[in-house]
Amino acid sequence: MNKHLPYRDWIFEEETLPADSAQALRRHLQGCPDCRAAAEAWKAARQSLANAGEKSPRTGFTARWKALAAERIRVPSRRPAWAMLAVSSAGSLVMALALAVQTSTQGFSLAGVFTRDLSAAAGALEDWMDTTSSLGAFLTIVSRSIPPACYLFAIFFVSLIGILWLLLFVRSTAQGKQQ
Amino acid sequence: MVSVSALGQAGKTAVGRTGAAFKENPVVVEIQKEWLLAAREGDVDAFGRVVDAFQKPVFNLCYRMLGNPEDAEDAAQESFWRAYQGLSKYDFQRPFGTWMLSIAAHYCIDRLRRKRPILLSLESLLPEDDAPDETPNPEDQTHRKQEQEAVQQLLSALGREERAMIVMRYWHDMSYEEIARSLKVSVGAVKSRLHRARHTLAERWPVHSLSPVSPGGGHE
Ligand SMILES: [Zn+2]
Repeated sequence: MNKHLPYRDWIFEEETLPADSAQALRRHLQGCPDCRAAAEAWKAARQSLANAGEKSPRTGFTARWKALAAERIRVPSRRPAWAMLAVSSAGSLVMALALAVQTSTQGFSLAGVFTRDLSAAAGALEDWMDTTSSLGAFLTIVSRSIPPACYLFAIFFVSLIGILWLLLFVRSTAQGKQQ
Repeated sequence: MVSVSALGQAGKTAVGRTGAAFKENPVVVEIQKEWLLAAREGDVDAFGRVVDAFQKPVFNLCYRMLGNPEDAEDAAQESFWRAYQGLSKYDFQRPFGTWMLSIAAHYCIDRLRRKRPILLSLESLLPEDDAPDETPNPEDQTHRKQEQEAVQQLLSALGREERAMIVMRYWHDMSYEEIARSLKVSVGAVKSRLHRARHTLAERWPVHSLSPVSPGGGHE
């Protein structure tokens, strides 16, 4: 049994001890240098916490917070950039798929893609789509008017826009962080 | 109409030393609730007033937790941002100060969990250019500086949660119940961990060296 217990616990107790416990602790402290040292150490440590006071931030804390908030609130307005990027990527993907359908049904050759005439280009899509439906008929007419080379240019153009948007977004984010 | 009693109650137990202003002046309290309501609708300037009123306790908590002014600034700014974003979850029955400190404490605890605990940064040992000292006497300043360092070293001996509890208790006069609610632990856990923390602080107090006696018993 530890001879310092329960006194050592009582030293660090914040709540007021019952009179008999307080009396017993007082007696123990008189005869026990270790516990007396513990009590004095806690008293001194507590005093140093009390003396330390509240630390203040540098002046202009609120202004800095407002700037931070303004910066972060501005971020959602950049969402259209992401939306644009998503749309252009999706557009590229759709066109790439359409091109893949065309080339896979007719045998792919890069030279062929550029030289193939309008009717050959439309033929592949015509087979693929249901021409009995009005949507199918419409798409057939549309696809007939677009040669594969145009698909390639469109993919290139839309991807370029997507990359430009991404670069602009990254740059504006980096500038925002520097502020 | 603004319910004064809701924030009046907040005023009673608002963050210790700074909370005193809210106790005495119901007008300030009422305005403050309006700031919060406006901020909840997205008014940054209104929340700026809240930041202004609570910057000191929040910064102090972050500083005591993290040990250096740079991290404390970062953490305090981030805590206010989180509070601003989470205002819809704020319960007006609860003192705003303790809610705010709870956000800051959680943020600091997470930050310490991610990073290895730091002791004293170089910056904290160098003279600071901020907060003009009321005691121009260089001897007093040196003494205060040493005392501040001793306090930060004492705190660094504690675990993350215990440190938060000690700061909430001894700097911000928060009750066991408020600390428990803020840190999402039981009141019993707060009592036992504060007890252990006091023992650690006494053990680490530079002037004395104590023979180790296992603390605890009766509080867990
Ligand atoms: Zn003893």
